[in-house]
Amino acid sequence: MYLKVDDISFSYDGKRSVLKNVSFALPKGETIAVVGASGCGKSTLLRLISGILNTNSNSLSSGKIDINSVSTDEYLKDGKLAFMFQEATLMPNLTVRQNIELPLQIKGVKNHEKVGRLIETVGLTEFSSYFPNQLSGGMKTRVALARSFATEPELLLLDEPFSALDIAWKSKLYIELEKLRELHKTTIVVVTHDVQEALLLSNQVVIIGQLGQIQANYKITTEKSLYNRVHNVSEFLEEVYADYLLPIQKVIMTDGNWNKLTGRADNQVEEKVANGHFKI
Amino acid sequence: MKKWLIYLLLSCIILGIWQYFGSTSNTARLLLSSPSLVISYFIQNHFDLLQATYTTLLEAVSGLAIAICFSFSMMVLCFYRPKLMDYILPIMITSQVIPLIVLAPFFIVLMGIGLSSKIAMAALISFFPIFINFAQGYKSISKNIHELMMVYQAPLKFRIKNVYFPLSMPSILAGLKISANLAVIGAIVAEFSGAENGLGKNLYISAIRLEPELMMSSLFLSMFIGIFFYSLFVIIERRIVRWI
Repeated sequence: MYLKVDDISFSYDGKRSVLKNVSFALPKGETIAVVGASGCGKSTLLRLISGILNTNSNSLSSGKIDINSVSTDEYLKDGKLAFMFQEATLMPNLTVRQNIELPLQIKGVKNHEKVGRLIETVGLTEFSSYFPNQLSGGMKTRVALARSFATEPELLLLDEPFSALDIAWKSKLYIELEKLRELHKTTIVVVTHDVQEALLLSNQVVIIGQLGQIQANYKITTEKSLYNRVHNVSEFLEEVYADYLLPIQKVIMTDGNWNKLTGRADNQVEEKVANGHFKI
Repeated sequence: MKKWLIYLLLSCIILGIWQYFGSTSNTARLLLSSPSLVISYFIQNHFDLLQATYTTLLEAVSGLAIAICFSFSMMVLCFYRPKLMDYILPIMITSQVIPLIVLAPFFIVLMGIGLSSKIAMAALISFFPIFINFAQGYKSISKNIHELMMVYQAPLKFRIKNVYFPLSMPSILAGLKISANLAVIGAIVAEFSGAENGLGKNLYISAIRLEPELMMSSLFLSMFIGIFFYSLFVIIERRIVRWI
């Protein structure tokens, strides 16, 4: 497994646990979506994986995170990780081009062609010399996304990357994300509120409940490639809605005792939902 | 354009009133002189007055340059050793309790009546706003940007050059605008305590000898130095901080 999150618990103040015994594993080149309500600890989980929050030095945390069989700290040193924050987090003094170039500049690499391609991909060619304060929220998100692609990372962490985008840009960038994954075997962890997005983008969906525990861990086993899926978003969504979406949505809305549902949602689940086993 | 016309009109009114009282009242003439007398005094003594201005400007610029170098070095040191800030900041703030101007005679005794004592005074008085504003600017950098640099493993040298300095620049320039004028005040006050040349010396002499023309012309020249510094930093701000 490329990314292994093993029994992670975390608390900021020692009183309230943000995450409780969270475990999952992800093979190289796959995508996992972390879904859950606001404040359930999704972003904290990303920060722990990225090493921004440290499980070793913080006495209020326990568990272990391994990336490619090494600890997060060691993994970070290799510069193979990219993180897109919930807010675009652009350097206000740099232009669109310079912001996308930034990770390459840190690595001491110059690749104008690649940066130009990324700017084109996110549709900001005309705005390449603009400063962030001259851009809309969606444009800023696109810059941040392009920046996270710039180093072709082995592990890409995305914190609600598409929430500020319209459906047209979402669809386009879903494909770009999938291209990146296929081309560079990038392992992706994406945090999102959007269940449909989670299903489209990932091979695995982890649902975190309000108490910071994993409520469900779905493996998405469709044979269709994501590239095809996002070309026919509505068709695909209709197709999967009955199989995945309905039960997952119901699970998210439930804060019951239901733990670790693995595998594809089956008729039994739907029956349980229909029979009122879950509070909706 | 309308604003400028209003300012111009206001200035003309003030100068007109000043000229009127300066020409009609002996008391006003003795205390404030009049614009026409000040101008003719300046024309007659322009060489000495400009030399005094140059001396004060040199002292203020040198003092400010030392203050900038010193405060930037201190900040860089704090970037390398963040714990240092915890020790330096309380000392800095405590040092501001002392009205620094009272140290002017001390510097004269220590360094003599030459340029060095004035430069030292200007440097000391202008150091604090630059340092504090730089520290404030650094503190106002978003937490996410620090985290982003951490994720990308940006070396400290890169962060200082490309993140800390540029993002603190609006605060640094705000500090510089205050410090530049403080440096002029520091130099002039030090000249009061003893100097061979300078606007401070002129102002001191004019008060003792009751020479209102010398006082007013020196006062205006001091004001022009202040305006020069302020305008300079506004221009620099517009050039460097284009992203706000």
